Amino acid sequence: MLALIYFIILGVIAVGSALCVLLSRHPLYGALSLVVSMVSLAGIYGLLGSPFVGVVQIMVYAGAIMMLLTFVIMVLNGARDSKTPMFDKVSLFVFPAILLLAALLGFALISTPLAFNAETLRGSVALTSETLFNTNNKGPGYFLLFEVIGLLLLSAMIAAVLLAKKNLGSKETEEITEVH
Amino acid sequence: MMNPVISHPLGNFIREVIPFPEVSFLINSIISIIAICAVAIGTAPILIYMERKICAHIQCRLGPMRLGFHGTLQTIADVMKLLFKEVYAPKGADKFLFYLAPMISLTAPFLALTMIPFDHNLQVANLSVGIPFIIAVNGFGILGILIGGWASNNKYSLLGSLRSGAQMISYEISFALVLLFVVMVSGSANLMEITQSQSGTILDWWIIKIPVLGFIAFIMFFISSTAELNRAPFDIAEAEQELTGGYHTEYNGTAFAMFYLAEYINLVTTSSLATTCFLGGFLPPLIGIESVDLLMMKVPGFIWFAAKVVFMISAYMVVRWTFVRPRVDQLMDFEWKFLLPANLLLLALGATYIAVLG
Repeated sequence: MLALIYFIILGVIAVGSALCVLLSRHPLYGALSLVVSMVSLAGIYGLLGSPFVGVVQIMVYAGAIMMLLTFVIMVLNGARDSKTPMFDKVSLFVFPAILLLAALLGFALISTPLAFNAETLRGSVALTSETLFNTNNKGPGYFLLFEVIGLLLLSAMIAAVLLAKKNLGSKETEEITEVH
Repeated sequence: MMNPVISHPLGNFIREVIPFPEVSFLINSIISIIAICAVAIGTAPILIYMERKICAHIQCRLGPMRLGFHGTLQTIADVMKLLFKEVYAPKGADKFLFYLAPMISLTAPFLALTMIPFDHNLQVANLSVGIPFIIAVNGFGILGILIGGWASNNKYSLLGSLRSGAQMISYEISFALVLLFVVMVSGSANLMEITQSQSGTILDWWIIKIPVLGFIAFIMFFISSTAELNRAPFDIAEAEQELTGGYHTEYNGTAFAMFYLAEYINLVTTSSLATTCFLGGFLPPLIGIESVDLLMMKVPGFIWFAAKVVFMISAYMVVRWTFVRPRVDQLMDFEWKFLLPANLLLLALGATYIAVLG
């Protein structure tokens, strides 16, 4: 009963702030509404018996990624973007795509049998670590895959650094590094 | 479902009196919220007084002496002054975000305080993910500072907030890694279990139990948490001499008081975290002599906890008024080129220690 009330409150906040992301004119307001949406999603994960997933959601999305986003918006002075029109020609293609995706997801959700017990723990610390590190015959032992994903992200970061520093070793960059 | 049970006798009493579990749960939650707010807001004036006195004595002054006994009423006068000031935002500032920012930065320390075990049965939420939760929640403090600096419509504020954002994000990594070390050696991310794993004599506290490594980890926690707290010597976000106050240049009155309050509650939270992780939390410092130990066991746990927290806070304050502020690039170099590699090395050594001796 109490869980249902919590879920309704959190769901309304999540959907409402997600709408705010779409409708807000200023990019910083959009980023902040996204933070609110992420935090309420984390609350829903907690209700589903996965507090660890919820905390990671706050740590990674509401914490690290949104911080970088706000940083970029502030440094690039995103205020001038608030004058761009909300709908243009591209929206004609985006809307049907979103509707199609929603219909597909809805169909998939309706057709799966939902046997749900809110009391069972799904994403606790112990369960997550067992899924990752249990390398016995029974356990999956996903930690190698996890590490490989980390390598992939690292290579993406190095590529981004290389792209940003196009003239690595040229005169201009050397001067910049010396000035500090 | 996440079902935090308030384990204090008061919680049991309310559960007995009120038949509906939902209603009694709500009442218990409200009591916990009030208790946390009372602890947090009540300690702030005491801490301000403490800071002034420590600062004064380090600089060979007397500090506040006129109001009350040795200036004890001075902080109350200061709080009154701050609360009755006119509240206004600068021209061209984003009003909504300007007033939202101090509130956001206040949420982080309050949320972190709910995880701290003050005694055997004095903890608001006994979550299995206590330490990840505290690390996650710390991010909101940065968000508040960033928004506050941006919304002030002032170049100094923006510079200060960007500096502090970069600094806090960098130092959060080593902060989290040191806590990971503690989680690794104690085998749990639950703060209550971390405390219980240190039961025994004073030699069983994590700062001493692991030979040299525990002490190094404690020092690293101290450094990175000082940077996390934005306190001197790492207060490049405020840096009065260069940035006229950094992100809170344009704030005054109640809004400024909230930033100030957030700083001091953060101090309490971080000190409690250090106490829980390294200094044995609410456990008494037993020394192995039975007659002395029995006497110390009689003192309630939260008094030991408070004593250790006050010790940690005074350590932070002495450091604040003793060291000089590094430059921005020196600060970043220190984190990325020394503290982070050292932290990774510490983790590897800790793992070796567990594998060999644990």
